[in-house]
Amino acid sequence: MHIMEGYLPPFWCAVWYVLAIIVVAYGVYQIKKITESNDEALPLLALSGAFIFILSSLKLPSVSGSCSHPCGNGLGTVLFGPAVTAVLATLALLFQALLLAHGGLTVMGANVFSMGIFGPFCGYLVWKALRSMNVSGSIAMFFTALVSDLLTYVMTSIELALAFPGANMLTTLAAFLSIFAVTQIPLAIAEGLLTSIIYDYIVKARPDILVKLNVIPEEEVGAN
Amino acid sequence: MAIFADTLDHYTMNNELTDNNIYGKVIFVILAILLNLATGTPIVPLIIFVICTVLILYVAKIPFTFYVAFMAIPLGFALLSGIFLAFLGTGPHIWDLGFFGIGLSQGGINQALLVFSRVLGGVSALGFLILTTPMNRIFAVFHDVHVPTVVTDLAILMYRYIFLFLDITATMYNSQKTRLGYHSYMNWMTCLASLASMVFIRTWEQGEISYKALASRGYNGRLNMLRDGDSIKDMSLKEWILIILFVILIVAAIIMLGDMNLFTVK
Repeated sequence: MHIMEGYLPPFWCAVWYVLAIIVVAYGVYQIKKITESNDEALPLLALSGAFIFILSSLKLPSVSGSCSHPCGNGLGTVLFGPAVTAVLATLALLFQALLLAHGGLTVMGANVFSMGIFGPFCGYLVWKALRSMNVSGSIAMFFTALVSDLLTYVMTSIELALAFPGANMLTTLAAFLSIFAVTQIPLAIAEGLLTSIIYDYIVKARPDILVKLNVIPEEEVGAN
Repeated sequence: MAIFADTLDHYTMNNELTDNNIYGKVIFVILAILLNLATGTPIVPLIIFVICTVLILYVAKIPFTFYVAFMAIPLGFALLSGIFLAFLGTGPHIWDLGFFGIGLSQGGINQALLVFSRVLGGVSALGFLILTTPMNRIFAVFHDVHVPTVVTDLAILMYRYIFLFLDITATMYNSQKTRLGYHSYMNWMTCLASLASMVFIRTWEQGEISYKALASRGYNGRLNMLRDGDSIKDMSLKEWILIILFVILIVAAIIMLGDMNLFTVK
């Protein structure tokens, strides 16, 4: 669930826009570099963006009975790195705003910052840390997706609490966290499970894709 | 083709405003969204909402039921979070919930009303653009305002692939359903995971195929497309006058109404 059009006051719209544009510009620069050296990259990136969009349109069952959708940013950050994920998530959010009225144009900055930058970046750190400790790919994937998803909503709560501080910012933050982040925990676990099963399937069916993206070393494929 | 008659794309391609100058619509929507944010009173966003709704329903002639379905989800969320915000306000409580010191205050209700009406105004203004404009024309605007070519190309390809893969996803989903998929929680998870990973692998294979198709036609990392979009110079005088009138009306309303709200907070 993203912040909706018109929800944030103008000042915070501008702040998040500036922060998001810096990172996305860096991501665009990266993509430019990739596409210049390798002309195979652009169609693949476009497909990955489309995949993130489709992943976020699938229904994910939650333990509490409600339905939500996976963020897809955990898988994205592992496969393509955080900078490229930021650009892909920006485009996915743009299409969600322009096709489904989900999110909006003035709040794009805030949504990009939480879903495209903060969540994936923290997830990426988790992935790197776990992989360097020789944790198996699917377990590391579980935690990466869990962290990316959960921190996306933590960031959303922070953004909302900054925009509507109320009487005491910490109590407001606690209230927003209890609504967005705590209810999100079961969903984050579900997304972690789902993403780790997805990862397993890809490892089984087409490990060469993961080798090509530098996600796993070549030796690991031979071992399977 | 009756089964495609109620999709969004059908309406964006077949409404009374499809062929209007894209810049007229984009400028109007951006101004509406910005003015919508600049207000301190819930009345101005409601005026914007009424104007956009009239434009969508009576000028563009989008069916009422489709418009309601389109607005229902964002507004449902807006209503929920509006209620939530009402309990977060400052000031003396006018109605206490009885625990944790949570209660409704005048400031909170004012803020909730303001935010709810802003969402109403913003979503309807955005809806005006979404419902009346085909996506490929929006890409033409991207090109004209000098968004980096690589981003525009990426967006165009993404848009195409989204529809391709929605189709594949729907087919796979239906075949899973007919084979008793999605009936229990764990079953749902495994079905969803196999669906998502198969879509990913299909996506990847499709990417390799389309790269080969492009490369065999002389592709070198850049998509050279013939772009024949509207120009800002083609906007008719009538459109300019209507936009200026709209801005004057809203700015006048913002200045006259100030921070007027349900409760006057001293």
